[in-house]
Amino acid sequence: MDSVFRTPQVHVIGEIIGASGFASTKVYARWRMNVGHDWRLLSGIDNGETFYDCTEHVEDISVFEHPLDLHYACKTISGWPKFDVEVWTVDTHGRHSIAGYGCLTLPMSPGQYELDVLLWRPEGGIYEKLTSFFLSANPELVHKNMVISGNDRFGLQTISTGKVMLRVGVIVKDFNLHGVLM
Amino acid sequence: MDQTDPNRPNRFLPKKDDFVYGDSSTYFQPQGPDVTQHPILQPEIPGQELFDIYKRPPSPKLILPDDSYFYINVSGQIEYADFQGVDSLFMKYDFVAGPEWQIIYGQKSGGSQTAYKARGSNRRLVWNFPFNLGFRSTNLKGWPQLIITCIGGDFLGREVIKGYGNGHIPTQPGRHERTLYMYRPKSSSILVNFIGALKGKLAELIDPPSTLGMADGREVTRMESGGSVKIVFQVSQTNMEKFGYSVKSIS
Repeated sequence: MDSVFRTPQVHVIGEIIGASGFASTKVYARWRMNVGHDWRLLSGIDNGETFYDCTEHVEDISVFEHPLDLHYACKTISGWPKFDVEVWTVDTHGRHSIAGYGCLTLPMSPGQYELDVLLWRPEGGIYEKLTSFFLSANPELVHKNMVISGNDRFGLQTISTGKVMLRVGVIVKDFNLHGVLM
Repeated sequence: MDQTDPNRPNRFLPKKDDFVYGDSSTYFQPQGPDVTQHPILQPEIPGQELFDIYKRPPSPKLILPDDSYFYINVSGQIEYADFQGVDSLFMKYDFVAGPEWQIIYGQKSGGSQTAYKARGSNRRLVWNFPFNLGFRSTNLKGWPQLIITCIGGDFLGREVIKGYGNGHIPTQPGRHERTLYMYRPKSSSILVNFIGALKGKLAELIDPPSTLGMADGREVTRMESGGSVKIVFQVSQTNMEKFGYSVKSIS
């Protein structure tokens, strides 16, 4: 078979280990893997929601251990997979509120990695701060695409919150036949 | 002589099908004269045939792997657990993989001994439980995962679940130290939790090896975290380059 017709492929294998650094240890996360237009998901699940870790006592880490096993085929290298996560906390009254947004471009070089996704959330004005303090309702993003893009961030005031830990192995296939060094 | 006959004269000889997963035409055939048949090197002693069962079996032939698969060898040990407030613990491990993966040798699942903490200390529970498996596949989908179930005693010594943990085996060859954080399901209400604690039946998963390895169906499941298990993996891979996979950065 001619090597030109072999489509380059990417495997992402690993786990979302957990989250740490939030005000409450009762958290869960929603995640999604974003790719460009010329990428195709061949197998695996590219979005989901993790376990809700409702540990009472204070641990240094909230555990998700959410398995990732994704297989992509691509026609171009632009639009490399971006991992996009939002973490929600649950307070003592059972109210869910956003604790942070974050995104991370997966490593292009094959190998085994331990990565941290650093999270932030919008702060809002004085009214939102009061609402956040008394009602535990943090302001959310309406357009969540801005988490994975660099546009339209000017003027937005955010608070740095915690982090989400990833353990991923990246395996690439047939990129070298097209002259791409990973 | 039938090689599969269990009563064959030398039962220490490897069977024909042992260790063979490649094409039989690719075996290395030893060359040269057969020393055992040489009259000078092997003098005839009366009664020699009685000791033939102690004859050293011939060294296994060199076996080349079947090139239509890639192979992954995982060995290592499940070293210790770090749990607060747990005195004794045993562990059950399961390796799960996708439908195209086959285990060619090794134990897919097993259980450890029950480890107790050293008296008067709150240190780790050491199992140092070794494992060694070989996988083969044609597709990376469903990369093998290790799923650990920790079972310990409650206040009356009954066996309850102390934690589950899951993780993929490393994708890069080499030595990897992993810490798997443990979690266990939480009861739906305080009353159910109390009754379960009295009866010694806390909330647990029905079939953890087949459910924990899946990425879907995890939402709105409430878990309590606590404890961790330290694992050392040694991974080697064969034929991955022939399949076009790059598992390691070239730099």
